[in-house]
Amino acid sequence: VQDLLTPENLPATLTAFAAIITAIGGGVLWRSRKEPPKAGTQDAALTALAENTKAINSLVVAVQGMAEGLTNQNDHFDANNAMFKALIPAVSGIARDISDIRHDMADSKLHLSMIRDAANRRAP
Amino acid sequence: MPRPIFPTAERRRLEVFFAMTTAGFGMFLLLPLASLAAPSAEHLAGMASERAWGGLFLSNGAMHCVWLAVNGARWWSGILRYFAAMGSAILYATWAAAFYAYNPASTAVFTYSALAIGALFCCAFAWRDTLTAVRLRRARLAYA
Repeated sequence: VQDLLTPENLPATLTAFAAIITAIGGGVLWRSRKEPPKAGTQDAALTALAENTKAINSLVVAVQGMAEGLTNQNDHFDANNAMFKALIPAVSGIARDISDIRHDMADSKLHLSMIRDAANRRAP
Repeated sequence: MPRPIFPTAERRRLEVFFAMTTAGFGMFLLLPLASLAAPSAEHLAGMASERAWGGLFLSNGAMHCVWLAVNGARWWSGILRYFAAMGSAILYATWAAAFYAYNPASTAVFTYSALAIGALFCCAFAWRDTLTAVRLRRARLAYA
């Protein structure tokens, strides 16, 4: 080793050694950056946070859609209410007519009984 | 999501600073300037050429930077960080000693000694991280 490692080549040897370790480190860094972050590390927490943010953004869009749907539904209910309100006079008229019909029917019943009695009396 | 180059830099500011400073120092020495032309650097120039010093500092700093970037992805990264920090501490201490040999009252003695002490602190931090990584690995293997 003493013959190989001289004071003259010591700096160059050490530099080359450090350069090799650096190159290995570069390779490890390249590979490690493609790997998913380890559980429990800050990277994993950051990734989870980013995914949560994405999910919350999607949720916001969905809730906005739901709110829009509810607004539309509310409009439909309003239209239905207006329609029901418009039906009230018509339904009241029908009720009045039915009442008149009932009274007329009662009168008819009376007339029919009278006709039946008269017919019975004249019967041989 | 793009990951930062130094994922845990905020917890290792001193080490990132030292790794970059050492690499930058090496790059400065590799510039086509005569940084070791002053008489106070005669011991340094006697030990190695300016290019050789530049190469040593740059390769050491680059090694430290790369393994700081790897940090955490491989359990043994702390060991290499420790040796890189130790290497830079030795280099800075050698420079402090060389300036001390020329003039013990030189401000360079204080500056390079402070840098060597800072690098030694980085050694301590790297060793502490290594111990944590080794313990976690043992626990992971035991419960795997």
